[in-house]
Amino acid sequence: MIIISCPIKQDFVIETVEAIDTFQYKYEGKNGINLSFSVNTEDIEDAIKVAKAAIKSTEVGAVLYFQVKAA
Amino acid sequence: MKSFTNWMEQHFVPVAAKIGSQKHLVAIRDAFIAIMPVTMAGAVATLLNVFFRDLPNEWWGLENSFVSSDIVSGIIGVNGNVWWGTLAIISLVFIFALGYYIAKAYKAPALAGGVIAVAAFIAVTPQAITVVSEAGEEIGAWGHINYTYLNSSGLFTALIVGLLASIVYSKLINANITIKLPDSVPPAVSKAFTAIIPGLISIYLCAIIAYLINLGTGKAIGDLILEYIQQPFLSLSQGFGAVIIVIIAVQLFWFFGIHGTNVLAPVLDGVYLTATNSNNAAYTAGTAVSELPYLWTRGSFDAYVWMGGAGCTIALIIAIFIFSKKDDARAIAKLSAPMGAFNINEPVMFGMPIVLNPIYFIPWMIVPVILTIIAYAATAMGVVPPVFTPVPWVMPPIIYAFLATGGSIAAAILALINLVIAVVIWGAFVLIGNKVELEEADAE
Repeated sequence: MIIISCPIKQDFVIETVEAIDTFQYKYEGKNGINLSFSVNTEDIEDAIKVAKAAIKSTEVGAVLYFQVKAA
Repeated sequence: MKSFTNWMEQHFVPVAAKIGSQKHLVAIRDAFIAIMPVTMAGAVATLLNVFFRDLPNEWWGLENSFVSSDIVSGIIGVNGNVWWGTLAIISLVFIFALGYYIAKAYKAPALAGGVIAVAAFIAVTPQAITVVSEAGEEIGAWGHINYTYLNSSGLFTALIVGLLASIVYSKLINANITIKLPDSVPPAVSKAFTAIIPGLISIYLCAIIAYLINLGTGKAIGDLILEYIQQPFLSLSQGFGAVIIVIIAVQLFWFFGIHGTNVLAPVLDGVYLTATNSNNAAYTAGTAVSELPYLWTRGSFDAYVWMGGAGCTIALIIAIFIFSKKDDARAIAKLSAPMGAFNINEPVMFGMPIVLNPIYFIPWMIVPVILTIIAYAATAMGVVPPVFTPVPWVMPPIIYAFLATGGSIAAAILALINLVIAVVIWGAFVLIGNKVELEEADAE
């Protein structure tokens, strides 16, 4: 499980992360600014890197202030 | 708060995203980031010479035995060489990086983009210098470049010429106005040939513009850009209002979840970093710290205001340790403190959280403004010297101010005073946070 803390554009973040091909991320719910995702890999550090890179590679994601961490 | 966030999402984020992804602005930002190793090497050389030459000369007088010793004079000489190869030619380094990134953004061969931008820059740079003989006679000498065209004074020229040269080159590449070689030719040779016509046109274009401007005005393009664009622009950035606007904008961006320094990088790096480098060049040329041209530079923000990260969050961490009765806040502060000491504040920003947290909005906005007012006034009154040495942003607070001002104890003390003030203000809101917690517990 990973948590993405992002105060705005949360729908966009969910959509972007769930569209990643490398691993399968599934949106599990949100608590305030924190969005929880389950991911089908044991390597959580790698899952964090991939999710972060996917968000940052988009036009909107490049200017968002967010944090990705293990749950 | 929610309706405002929705408004931000619909109206502001798309604009910020456009600015943040604008390829020319991204290339400028990336070019400034790319030259950081060179800038830092120059900064280290400047700092070492402050401690090995300038301060000893100030304390013990000129030609003292410490500075004159073989070892120390050798160290000073090596530092001089490093400065000469870095900050003295920073515009040359910058234009290569800019040409590279612009070409990359246009999907043209990037290395050739950098090389062509450098050639175009030198093509617009005066080829002769005037020296004054001991008898006071002015002698013109052809075949020399005055390094002041290549140091921070030339940064805006490098920016403008670099953009022009590399955009023209890249567009011609994309329009296929190139020499095409058979597939059997090795890629490195093929790429070099591809760049010949676009590079030739691009360099010629810059050279013709520089020639015509020189013909019409009698001045070099670099002198005109310095006089009519760079200096007015930098002067504008030095006003108190301009500094406060930048501070408020960055704080607002961060609070609402937008990467403030990323969006404003062209201003912070293009303008205020240029001011840092200009101060450095002036200092190295022998200008007294009290006479440095720019009062507020890129490092001033980090030295006195954004200690521990934007919002002076190291002060919040300290305030939590002193005042907070909430176990979760203390745990977050404990986790955030080691990174906060190196100005990384994501753990505390998202852990508390501060972003979109109405309790912390007021200190988040007013702490940096108050710290800026104090630091700006102290610098303007000459209590502390302006920041003139680039320092890595991960340098811990207080030490940052000390190093960025060439070893000024007064600057370190000012940073400490600002930190104490920030702790007091943040502390008041941590106490409010305690109260809110207690009231919530009572209600339950």
